[in-house]
Amino acid sequence: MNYVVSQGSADGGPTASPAPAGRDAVPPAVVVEHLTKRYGATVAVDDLSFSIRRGTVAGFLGPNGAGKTTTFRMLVGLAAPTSGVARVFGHPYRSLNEPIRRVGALLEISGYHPGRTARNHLRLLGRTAGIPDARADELLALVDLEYAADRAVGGYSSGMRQRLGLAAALLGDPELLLLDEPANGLDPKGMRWLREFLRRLAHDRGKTVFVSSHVLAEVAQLVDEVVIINRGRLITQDSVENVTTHVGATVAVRSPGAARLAALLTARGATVTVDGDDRLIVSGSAIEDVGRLAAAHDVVLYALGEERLSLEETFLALTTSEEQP
Amino acid sequence: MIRLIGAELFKLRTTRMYLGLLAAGTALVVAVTAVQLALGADSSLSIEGAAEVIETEADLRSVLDVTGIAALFTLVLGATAVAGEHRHHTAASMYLLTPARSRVVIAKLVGYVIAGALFGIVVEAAAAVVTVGWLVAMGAPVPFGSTVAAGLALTPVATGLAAAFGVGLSAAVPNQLGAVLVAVGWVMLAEQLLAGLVPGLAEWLPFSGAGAAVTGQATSIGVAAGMALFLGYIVALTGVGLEVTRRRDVG
Repeated sequence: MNYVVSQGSADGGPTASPAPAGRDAVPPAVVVEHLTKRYGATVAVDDLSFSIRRGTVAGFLGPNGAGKTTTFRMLVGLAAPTSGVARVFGHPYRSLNEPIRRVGALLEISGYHPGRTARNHLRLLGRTAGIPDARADELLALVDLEYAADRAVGGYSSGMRQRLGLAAALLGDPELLLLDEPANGLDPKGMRWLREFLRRLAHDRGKTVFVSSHVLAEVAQLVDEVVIINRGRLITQDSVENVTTHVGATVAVRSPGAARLAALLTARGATVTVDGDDRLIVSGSAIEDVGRLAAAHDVVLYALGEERLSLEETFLALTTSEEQP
Repeated sequence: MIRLIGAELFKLRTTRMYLGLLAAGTALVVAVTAVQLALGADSSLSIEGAAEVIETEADLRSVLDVTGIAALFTLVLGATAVAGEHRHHTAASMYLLTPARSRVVIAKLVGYVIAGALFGIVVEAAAAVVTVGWLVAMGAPVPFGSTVAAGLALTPVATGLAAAFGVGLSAAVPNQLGAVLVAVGWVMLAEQLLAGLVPGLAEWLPFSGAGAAVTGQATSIGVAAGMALFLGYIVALTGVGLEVTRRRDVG
């Protein structure tokens, strides 16, 4: 089955809702406004705007190469925006006082000296920030790496490295965690561990978590809302429920007048995919509206039903439709 | 800043690179010193032979002078300081913790001066143990005096400054292999070539001129002028490095 999903203004289209500066007493944890990053002719991030409220667990979704890592890098001052702003807690990251105590970041671009042990890696980061060595041991226990604490990181599996990266991000017990593809390299057991770990951080310890992934299922059970981007542009920011309700619902129609009904629906802004001689898949129009339209124009219907996409199908539909020329 | 400098020294202590370079440098210095002593006289294994090799303070200082070898090692060490962070992708963590990148580079500069000076002290001590041990074993006098003391004091200064030069270069050329090749190529090839092509230029070049003057090896400019000139090179190179570091996207 081929789904084509359009985004018209009727359903809100791409939603960008950075909190207006000065209106809220407490600024959001993350604000990105008209953020653009160009590398020569390549536009990695394109006029991107969204915000993440404090206390939220948000997913940052998009296919590989969508611009997630570049956005994270600009958020934490590792890359300079071509235009636009990226702020954490109302300020550019670079102007934060003791940033490690406000923001913890696990970035795909972060690495480790292969000859240094995990314990020394964490101690080093801690010493740079004035955090006692004992914190390194606490964190190694927290991420279940105590048993390998004195092994050189060069011999770690990718899953162990991800755990070490999480420990590093938590070093300053920050309010906000920016996690870039933390599930990369994890086996199913590791992914389950990660989900439980992040759930505890978010729900038991009240952290704001902004976690990126190119696989919706990895974060769907964890997040309150999602920011979906593709090709550097915002597709939508909404709750998981709303995304699947508004975008993930389609109406299936069987009718001998399928072609005529398709034309009527398209004229009203819906997106229609013709599937065979008498079958239509309609998105962007409620089932009631399709039924009324058919009745008003004397189009006979053999079948009319609602089909709901899975989260994964919704994600694919959103990002695939953006790739249409 | 003290915290950052301490972290830089901790970095050097927790990987094998510094100790590896130190071991290699010390072994080379011991070998070169032994060869100097062995080949310095017709029969060096005698009191007469020993006295023939090291008769005066200047002779002793000459044998103990390991600046050239040690400074090359500390220059290479410094050249890995910033570039190595990019090679191992640890630069991101470093700048996340300390977003003011200039502070990181300055901390590296100070940390590597300390590490470079320690390097100089260790290799110098190794050379002294071999030389003095040989003189004592041969029953020859040890002509120690202010000339030798000055040489001993200046070698760690030279190795520390060479490390700082390497850090500046490393910030300006944030690719580890590139920075090391430029450092070694400059000392071993470029300076020799430039000195040969432009008469009188050698004494103004960073290593064959200013660097050599730091340890009193150059005659045309004194220790103080050599040090000032070498510091000037470090400041200029670090200035370029700071600008490159400030502008560069990480990752």
